[in-house]
Amino acid sequence: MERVSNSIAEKKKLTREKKRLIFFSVMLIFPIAQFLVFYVYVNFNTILLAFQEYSNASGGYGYDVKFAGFDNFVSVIKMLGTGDNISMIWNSLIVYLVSMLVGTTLALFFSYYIYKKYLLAGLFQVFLFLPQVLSSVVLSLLFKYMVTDGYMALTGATRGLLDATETQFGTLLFFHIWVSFGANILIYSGAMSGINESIVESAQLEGVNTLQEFWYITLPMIFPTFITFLVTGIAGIFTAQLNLYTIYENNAPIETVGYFLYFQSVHSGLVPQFNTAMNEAYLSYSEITAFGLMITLVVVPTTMLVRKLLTKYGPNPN
Amino acid sequence: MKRTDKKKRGKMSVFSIILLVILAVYVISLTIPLIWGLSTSLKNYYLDFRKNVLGFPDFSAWDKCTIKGEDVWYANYLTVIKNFDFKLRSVFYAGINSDELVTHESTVTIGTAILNTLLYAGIMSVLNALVPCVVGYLCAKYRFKISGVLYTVVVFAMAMPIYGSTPAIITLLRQLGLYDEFMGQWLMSATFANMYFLVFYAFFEGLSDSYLEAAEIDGASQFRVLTTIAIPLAKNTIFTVILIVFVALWNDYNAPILYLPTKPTLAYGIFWLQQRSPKIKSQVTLQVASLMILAIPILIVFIIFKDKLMGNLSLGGVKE
Repeated sequence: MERVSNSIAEKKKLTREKKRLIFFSVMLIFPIAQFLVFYVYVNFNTILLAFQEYSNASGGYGYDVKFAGFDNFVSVIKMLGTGDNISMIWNSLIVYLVSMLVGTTLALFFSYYIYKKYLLAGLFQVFLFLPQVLSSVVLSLLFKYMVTDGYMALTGATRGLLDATETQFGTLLFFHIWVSFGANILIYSGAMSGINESIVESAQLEGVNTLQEFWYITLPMIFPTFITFLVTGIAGIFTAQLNLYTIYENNAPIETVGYFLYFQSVHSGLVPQFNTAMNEAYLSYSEITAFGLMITLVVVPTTMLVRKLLTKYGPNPN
Repeated sequence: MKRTDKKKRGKMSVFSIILLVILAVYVISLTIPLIWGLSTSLKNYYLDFRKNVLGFPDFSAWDKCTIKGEDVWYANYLTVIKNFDFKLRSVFYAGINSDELVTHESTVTIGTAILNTLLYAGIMSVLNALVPCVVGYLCAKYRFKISGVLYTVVVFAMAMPIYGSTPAIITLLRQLGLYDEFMGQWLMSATFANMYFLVFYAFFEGLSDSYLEAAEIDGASQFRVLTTIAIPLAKNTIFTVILIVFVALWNDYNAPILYLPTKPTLAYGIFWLQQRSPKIKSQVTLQVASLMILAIPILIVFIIFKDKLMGNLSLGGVKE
């Protein structure tokens, strides 16, 4: 009798498992198909595209495609060697280094202020978040008009800060850090509030001052968060546009890799188009893709290496 | 939260006073462009702005304006809305073999741009929250082998950025007939391979099975358990994700330029006016007024929902 009820229970369980499996599978059909098309296939196609060369079809509509070997990679290297193009790479690196140095320092200090709930901390927190909710179109262009019309009215200069060659890059860099460094403050101050109160209190009893507490307790304790931002920041080095497209559209006087890849992707095609504003040809889609792959090949190992080194040799929160 | 509320406000020291000063300077510097923008957008270009670039608007200048319909203090806004009227055109090869020549044309007004923004940011933000929510739920609560595989796949996809894939995406969308179509963007945004998957996964993993099982014993189907119990339990997190993504999509003009060339959102349309509209370009006051049109709605959203937007979206769901 017992055996019978057991087997009924088992049968019931089996059908429940079966029901669950069917539901699970049906619900996942779309998400998995979506992932296969828009992630797996796109990335496969990215690699394929980098080794192809498209030209207008000899007869009628469409394109002729042929295998290009490493031609696209070679032409990207040639492009980087032409004129001042290589500077886009240095610019991207400078933007990253300066934002890490200045931006992260400011972010850490400000986060500490908010974590300690000093005077007006709540109000500051809201304002620090403001650049994150406003469109870069709004902030960049308001800034542009201010340092053009406002600056000229104030100083009597004949050119704005973004027009004069000497001041362009510094102004863009300043603006970039000015609007972007606040993005991590919420997360940093959140990480700081996770620090055990008893450690902080016992240090204060020993007479540690605010600056020492910040340096010897707060910073080491949030080091893992810092590593995460440093590492994800590396992945962003070559996507940062420095607001160039917003401010100058497709004829910026200086370039970063992120800006270059973006405006080329907007204006080009499988067969390279001609840029009348700059009087030169855009890269073809295949060349843009080859450039992207080269960056991937540099960035991914670097990211992994940096993460490994920092986890190994960085300060230990324990 | 209670614990931190009780926490004493830190005592001010020299170090913290220096920080206070720097912070105050920074926060003031952030508000200056916005105040200048709002004030400039209310100035008459010829009668006020040209001799008063930095000061507050002189509203009496509008009375001296002789152009009918342009003599009110909000005239710049009216002019922007009236001039928000342009044509866009995109010609490209579509079809699986990329050999069907297609031309898309559109006439854009502020109305169509707002409608496009709602179709774009509204629907995509919901998809971008719901798909990771459902897949996160399935992976956390249905322990089949593939659940673990999917989790690993998401972590890998997030850690492995592939640069330069934009041309491949554009080419694929064109081949599928989804380029310059909202449907293409909706399908692209319905992905679970983002950080929100990890947020929802952690949320459901920490949720006791007993809730869900009780409903099942009462005879609810698997689907009903998902829609009437799991999703309502996660609604706070879902709403926060929708809000964050909506704000980001409202503001973004880069992706719409790439993928929706003739269906501009408000941000794209206003960017276009700044660069191409002869009328708007001719007066800074008009340029600034158009920026304010983009900024004001999102500032209102921010003021209403600032606690949600700034809430800590941790891996344990929304901390409140």
